[in-house]
Amino acid sequence: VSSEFELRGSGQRLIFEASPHGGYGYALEFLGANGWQRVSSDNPLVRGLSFNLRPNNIKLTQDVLEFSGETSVLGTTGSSLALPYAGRVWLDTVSGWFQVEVRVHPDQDVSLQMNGGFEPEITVDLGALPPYDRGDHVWFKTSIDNPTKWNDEARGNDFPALYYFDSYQRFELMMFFDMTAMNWMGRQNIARFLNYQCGFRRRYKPTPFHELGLHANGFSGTTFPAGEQVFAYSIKLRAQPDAPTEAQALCELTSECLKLVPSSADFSSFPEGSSSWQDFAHACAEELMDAQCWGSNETYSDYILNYVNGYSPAWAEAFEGKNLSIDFKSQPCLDSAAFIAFPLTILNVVRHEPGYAALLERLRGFIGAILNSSDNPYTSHTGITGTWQHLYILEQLWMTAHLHQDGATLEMIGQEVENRIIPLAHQTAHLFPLSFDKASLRKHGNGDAYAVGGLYASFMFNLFRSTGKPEYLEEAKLSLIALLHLPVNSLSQEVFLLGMGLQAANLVYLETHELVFKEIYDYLLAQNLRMMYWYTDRTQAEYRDYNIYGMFQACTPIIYPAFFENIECLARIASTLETNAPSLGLLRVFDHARKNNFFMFPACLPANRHTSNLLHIPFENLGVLEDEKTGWIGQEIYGCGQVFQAHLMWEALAHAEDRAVMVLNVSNYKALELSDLERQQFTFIVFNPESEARRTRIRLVGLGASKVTIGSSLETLELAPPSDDGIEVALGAGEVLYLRVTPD
Amino acid sequence: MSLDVERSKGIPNLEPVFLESEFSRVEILFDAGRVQYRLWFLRDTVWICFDPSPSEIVTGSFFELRANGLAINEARDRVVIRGQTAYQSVTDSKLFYEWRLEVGLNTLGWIDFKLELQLPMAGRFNQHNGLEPALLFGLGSMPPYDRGHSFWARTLVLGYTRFDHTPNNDFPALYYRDPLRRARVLMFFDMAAMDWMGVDTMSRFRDYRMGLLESGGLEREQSLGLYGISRSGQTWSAGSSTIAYAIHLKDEPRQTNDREALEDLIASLGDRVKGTPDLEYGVTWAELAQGAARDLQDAACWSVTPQGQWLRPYVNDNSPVWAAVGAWEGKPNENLGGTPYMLWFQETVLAALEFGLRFTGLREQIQLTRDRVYASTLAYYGGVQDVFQGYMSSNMTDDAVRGTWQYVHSISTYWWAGRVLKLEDAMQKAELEVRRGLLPLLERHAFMPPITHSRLSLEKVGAAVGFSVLGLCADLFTRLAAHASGQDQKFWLELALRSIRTLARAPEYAVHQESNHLASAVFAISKLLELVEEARLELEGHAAYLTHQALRQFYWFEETTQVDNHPLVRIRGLSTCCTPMSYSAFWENISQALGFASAYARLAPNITMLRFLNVLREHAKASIPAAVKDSSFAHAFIPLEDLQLLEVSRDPSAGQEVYGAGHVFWAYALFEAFCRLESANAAVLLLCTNLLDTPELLEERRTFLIFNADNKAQVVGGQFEIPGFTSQRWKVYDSSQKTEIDLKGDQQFEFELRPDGWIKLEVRGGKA
Repeated sequence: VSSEFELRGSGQRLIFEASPHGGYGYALEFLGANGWQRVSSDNPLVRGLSFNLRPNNIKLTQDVLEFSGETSVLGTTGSSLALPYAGRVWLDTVSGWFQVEVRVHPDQDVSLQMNGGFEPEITVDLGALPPYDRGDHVWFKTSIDNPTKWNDEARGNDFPALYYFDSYQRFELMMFFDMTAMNWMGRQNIARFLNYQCGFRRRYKPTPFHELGLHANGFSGTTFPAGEQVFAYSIKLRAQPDAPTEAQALCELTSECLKLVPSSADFSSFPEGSSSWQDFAHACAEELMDAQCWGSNETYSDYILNYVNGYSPAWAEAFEGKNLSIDFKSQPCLDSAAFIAFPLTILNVVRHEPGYAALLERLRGFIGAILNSSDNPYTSHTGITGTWQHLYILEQLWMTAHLHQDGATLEMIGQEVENRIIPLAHQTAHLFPLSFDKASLRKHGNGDAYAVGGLYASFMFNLFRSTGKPEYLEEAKLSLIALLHLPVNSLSQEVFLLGMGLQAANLVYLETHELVFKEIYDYLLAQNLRMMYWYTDRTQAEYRDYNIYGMFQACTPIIYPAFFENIECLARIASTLETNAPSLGLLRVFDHARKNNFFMFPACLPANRHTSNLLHIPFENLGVLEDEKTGWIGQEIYGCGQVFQAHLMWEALAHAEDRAVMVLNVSNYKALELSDLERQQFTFIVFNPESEARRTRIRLVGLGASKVTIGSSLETLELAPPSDDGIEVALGAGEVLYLRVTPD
Repeated sequence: MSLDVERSKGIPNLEPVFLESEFSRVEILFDAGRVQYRLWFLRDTVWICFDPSPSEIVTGSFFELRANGLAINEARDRVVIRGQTAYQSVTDSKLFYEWRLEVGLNTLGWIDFKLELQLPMAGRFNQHNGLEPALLFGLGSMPPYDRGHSFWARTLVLGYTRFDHTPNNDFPALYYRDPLRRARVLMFFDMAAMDWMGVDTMSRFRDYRMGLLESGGLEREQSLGLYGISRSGQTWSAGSSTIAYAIHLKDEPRQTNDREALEDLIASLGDRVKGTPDLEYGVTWAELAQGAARDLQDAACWSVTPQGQWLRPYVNDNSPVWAAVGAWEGKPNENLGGTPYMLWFQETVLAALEFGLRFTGLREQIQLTRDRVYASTLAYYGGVQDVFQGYMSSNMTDDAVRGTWQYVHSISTYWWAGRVLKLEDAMQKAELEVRRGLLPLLERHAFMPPITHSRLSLEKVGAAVGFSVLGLCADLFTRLAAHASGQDQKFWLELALRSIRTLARAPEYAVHQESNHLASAVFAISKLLELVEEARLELEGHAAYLTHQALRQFYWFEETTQVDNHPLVRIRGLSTCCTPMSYSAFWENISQALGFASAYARLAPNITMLRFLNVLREHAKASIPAAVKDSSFAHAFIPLEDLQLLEVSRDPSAGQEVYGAGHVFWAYALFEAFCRLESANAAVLLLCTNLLDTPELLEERRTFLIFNADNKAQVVGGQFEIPGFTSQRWKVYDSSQKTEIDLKGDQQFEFELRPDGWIKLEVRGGKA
């Protein structure tokens, strides 16, 4: 079939053809072994009783198909009204995706027709279900649906994309939905991921068929708003002779979607008041010394809290719901101390500031007090504990104790590892539960947290580095291999566990050169990015004060971006980029995040959102459509360690005079002892995210006398001319340089 | 306003009605005559309303119920409400249907809702406000900090099994524990009563899902139950139809895990499972086995080529559904029997025949058939000692895709046959294949076997994980362990333990695939318990859990919708073939029974499972055309692979499974071969429990389990007739007293069994 209304990409084409329903529907074809093979035809641009948009007018102008049309819909007043629409379809030659953009212009609110199904939907009809769908087809298709879900029932609100491999025709098809543009979603119609899913769907009326796309399982209201509204999505298909595993499919999908990450120069900007990560780290340390962050009681003269003033309306409501009450101000929070102390210990060495040292001393004082008390969770042998919390606190304590060579604490942690943690891993076949009974090591309550395997692997690998005992390396390997083979939709829970997993996989690969760990690294990176926000929320005015692009869903299905998790994920990924060259899309993600994470601080949000006068302690959450209230969980003291981590990642050791240029530290997490830091080689990625060339100077801080090399890759580094004014660099639009600082 | 409309508004001022059990009560409310309900549960001495907002009996505008009258029985455990509801007919006229709602408490505290509708003419339900009918129990507003807190503390188990993204059509029940109210709700949907489901309405598990449904705009609310995500039609047919479901509500102060939830759900439903078959086919397994032996010799079951002869997978290679797949793939003339289809097809028949030949009284009838299968298998693979050669990893030359469970099954069957035939060489080959092929495969995948893999590279091919294959693996490892000693035995035991642990730690919703695999897992545990004393508590827990998981794959309802099965076909009590294949298949049913029966030689049986097995004992015959007297099949003793259910009713049939014909002999051995009851009794299940236990078989030991599936006590008498046993000694284990009694005497027995009572008998043969 050839048509004047055809767009052709590499091995794929999209063709508009006259539809028996009137207007033009689009077909999809890929170039297979037997020539062009059709996989779908007569698709409307948007589906639903009110929509089914098949344009009447199409023209091809400079490789862009422009279309327009009009359909009739029901207004909310009960009268019929016209729905004019126009848009364009084109092939983005850089990414290789077909891009579809439809703009509809209802004069009045439209009454959606939720009759026999839901609308609007965006789906590609794959035709009749193969015969013996459940005896043959089901085993051989490969499908990645999104958003992520936990326990096979509760979905998050993260990755708006899908992948499908057809085992009969041997093609793969991917779709990405631009949730930033589709800001008409809301509680008055379909509240985005409360009801929408991206993926494969069987339908049985009028005859059994299957389709791919954005489809709903319910709705919140029936009003589609008046005014210009946008439907925007991307499609890519091509021949795929070999059946991919889900792990391969997910890697493929995220890799392709990274090509769609917009330039941060066009999409994100530093919020007003976001002077620098250095300023925010400094101010955060100061505010952490404030009385609103600390408490005291008969046992502890000084303990740190979890939230500023112990204020967390969400938790208060949750306890009230159980006819209980909670007073966080009276609760010493070991989590906060452990999570802050580790990155602060590093920062305190590389940036000698009295504020850091004082805070660290105070935190370590509290840690020492609680570990020597009956409240020490690792010396009590009864009770129920959250698995990742139990293990992560322990790991963070170990990291800090090891840096400081605190023998007593290391001994206590060693006992816990040998007597409880490793036996737990063995008893659960490295498939960790969400929570467990400390005495029996049996799962408690519902559900699992398999991604704890990533944290476990990270901890075990560091134990291996520290002791040289191969059994720890073996433990790390076992838990990572388990993560590779678990069901693709069972890993998503606390998001940074995946970050720790990919970091561990990279280290194990570098240690052993076993290729499977490179595979696991790629897979866990894809799983981690799957939980990223690939859009910003513009559905309501209240969400437009900030930009969440490049942030991470805290936890599936905790459907909001959270600061602690945002930075912990990014920092872990960054630490692997010295040996895994990042794509342009991934660097753009880091740059979005570098800017947008300032929005997590009250200092960068309108005053009416402030809940204390401590403006540099981040909120746990930003409100999004699916979970509305910014700051409702509280200002997370426990997440402040990640303020220091962000500083270490983006500015503490090196930064560009031109703030638009990102300097990313990819050598974090290397030191196990403080003395390591003096001997450590640091590598930075210098990235110009702008659409124009930049010339600037890179300032190095706190790295002592060093040799500096620079180049377009780590293999082509050359000595940089020494200068007290920093290293001058010139970068083209989107260009990357590597800069390495080696101690003399 | 017309009189009819007046009538349809119902009586406005009815007082609420309460029905009360020892731990819950249902309150029927009449809001301007509109019938709704609320549920309460008892905590200590206080009644707590689960949610003040009343729930609809049936959610959907077509089902708005306004009462015209009600009646309560004297015991106040049952209320009947009647009324009329206006609806739009298919001709767009406005009509009324009569309805009758019965709400009652059963003895276990279930609250049964049964709504009967009588439509004078087919009606059209519009589905303007979501898909209807939905059966939802309202939970009120979303819990505070739902996804950050409440979510982790709640427990939700959806009964129907799933594979990857695809739901099966089996267990129509759910469990939910609410963390704020600290109460748990069970729901059971009576799919047998709801025979209106179909292509004109909602196609059961195609269109319905179970679980929590969030709804509403700014006022977000949650409800629990059965709801549609798509529709098949919107025409409600004329005449009578029923909507039926049940709810069980109870205080549950403790946070439960998914294992406990599943156990609670199945235990609470136990009495809803009728343990007797719905009909009897008037034919014995012995007769069916003899017929199968004859049919298996027919040319329709054999491929004869210059390269050799072997069993076809299906009679005459006729499998309409595979033919359709071939056509879809552009290979319409593919000859299924052109080459040996899969080794396990041949082996599974051979193993069954070998067993029948050696241990049952059908030696004469089986001999010829067995000899032909045996000879053809050996000939194809090049000689007695080389049966397995072509399948061994060391002899593979291409990286073709192989099904993982089929591979494990093949090794296991081969080893078993070698053990029975006392072919040490064959056993060694099987063990070698385990070491060189299976173990590397398992290690490579962290004991999470792929559904299919490349047989040389051992790489996963395609999607999903076949956790249940670990049941087969554990079974094989325990066999190897039992045959080994010292470090070797320890090695195999550790592998078996790891297999079971991984399977037990797999996601609760992801352990189902081929339905007999979990039975193999439980059988493996029963053997492990003898060999690994230190993990007893843990293993017993896993056995119970995996049994409950297996029970999810049974059909808890009869197929009553418009499905084109033979009228004598019964589905209830059979297991699904494989999640999500959505039909019942003979080979899997008997394999499942064989696995659990064998496990019960050592383990205390699960009563619900025994009830199902007793039903299966008879209903499984429905797969055999001769049993249902279907004269349209020339080879009427070869079972059909698929008994259809609504969800796959439009698919072509799979064919008559030659590979499953061997299992007719296993069924005979399980239910009939060694013992005869004094009088046929549909309520009494007699199982030979150690058919898969090779050492015991070879030592001339048989163990039996007799179960009373009736709700009244039974005196069960019978006589053992075990070929080759010249004398017998019995040991009897009584289920209630767990005592051991040595009996000596003749072959007669007689016991009284209480309802759900069981007894185990061990019979030892030997020289007189």
